Amino acid sequence: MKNKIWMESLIIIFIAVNCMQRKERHHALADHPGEALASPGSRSLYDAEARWFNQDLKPVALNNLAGKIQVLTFGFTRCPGACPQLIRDMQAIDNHLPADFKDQIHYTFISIDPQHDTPQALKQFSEVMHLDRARWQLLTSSAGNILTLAMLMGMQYKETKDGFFAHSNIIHILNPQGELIHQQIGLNRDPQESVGIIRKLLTDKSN
Amino acid sequence: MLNHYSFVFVTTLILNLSAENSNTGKMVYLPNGVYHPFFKNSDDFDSIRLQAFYMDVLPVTNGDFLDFLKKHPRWQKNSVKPIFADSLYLKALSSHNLSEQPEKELIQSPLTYVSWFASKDYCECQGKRLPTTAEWEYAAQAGESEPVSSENSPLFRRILFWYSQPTVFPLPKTGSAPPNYWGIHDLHGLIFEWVADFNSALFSNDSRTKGGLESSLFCGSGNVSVTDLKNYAAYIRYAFRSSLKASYSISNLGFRCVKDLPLQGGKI
Repeated sequence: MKNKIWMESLIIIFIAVNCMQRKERHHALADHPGEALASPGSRSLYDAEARWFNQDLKPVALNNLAGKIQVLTFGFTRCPGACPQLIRDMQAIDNHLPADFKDQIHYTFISIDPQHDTPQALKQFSEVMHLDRARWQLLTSSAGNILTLAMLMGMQYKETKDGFFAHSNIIHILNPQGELIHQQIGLNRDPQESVGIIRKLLTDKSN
Repeated sequence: MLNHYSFVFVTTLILNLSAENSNTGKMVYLPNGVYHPFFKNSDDFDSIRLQAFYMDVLPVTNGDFLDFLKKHPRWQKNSVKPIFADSLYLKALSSHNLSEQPEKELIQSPLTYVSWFASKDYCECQGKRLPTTAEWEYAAQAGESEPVSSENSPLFRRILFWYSQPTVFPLPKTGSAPPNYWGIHDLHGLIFEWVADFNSALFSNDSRTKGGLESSLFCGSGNVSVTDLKNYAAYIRYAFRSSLKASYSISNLGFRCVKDLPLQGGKI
């Protein structure tokens, strides 16, 4: 039953963001909290206006992620090995960051498998992975929105014949404006480079 | 400012000229089928089952896109967000080119210098979508008189000849060459076309840590993944697509859209 409701709401998002014309009308209503971000020449990924859902079935716009440093990855919850490792790699980055600044850093997991990753499945995954609810968000949307965001971030994925996905293993670091600052490529990497970049962003932010 | 005037000028022209080509906006039906991917990694499907779909008979033309820009100004060159298109975006629609080419021909020439993001949104605004690599290749393997052209068909020689020539500017108008078996024009011989999954066809679990170009296609013995070595033309297309990024706007790259069949019996 929950699944059915989920599929229906997915179809609704798909229709709602199917074409950007609707969004242009949306602009006219000045109903856009992230509008201030979209300065000319901005390379903010939060310009990709699309509707997402998080693990609590709460609608999320990407520009809701603005204001904090985002550490973000793509994956799917049935993923046998790589995705849990990506999460552990993100946790390793977090473990090296000063405790005082942790409220300025947020973690996001984007599902590439909207068919299986219902908000419920994402919630279950976040519990299995012991993710801190206050600092982690797991998002899903229509297949088209996910592909657009993946393209924006240079992230590749495709379905394989065993029913899983082959995908790039990349941890993306975004500044508070949503610009892509750094990519940690591969699994089980030394977190120091990413940690250094986040520390620098924290310094820039406080200045 | 100049751009703005030329834009208004050209859009007025479309109104006069859009009725000229009877294939404008026309789609044809392609039945259920199986496509055998040209390039296959160990974890890829051996064959891809395709649901029947409709495909545009012509690539999207400058005229089509100018019409779209009027309704969706966010995609005009001056307003497009830089993450969605590089600096060459819509270069061919600049006033400079307008003066060099008769307007009527420009309107019917294929749109190029367009990013994947703009192409995808264009299709979605028509209630359509970009084709997948499999769908595009499935449609494009047809000869003039058969749905799958044979290995020694003159089609392949013609395609390779075209690939070996520099692109001619201004681009000829769409629909000039004879259609293929399905009634589709210009899949070969005019421009390259965006597909929805352009950057993933060569991607595999073996390459995911690199996150980049598929080295097994290009380097030495890795070519064993290629299923049909005779099909050098497909090889060139796969290599070209994998070199693209979604914001690229290129002189010989445009797109066309496809559409799914309506859902039957109101079931989801």
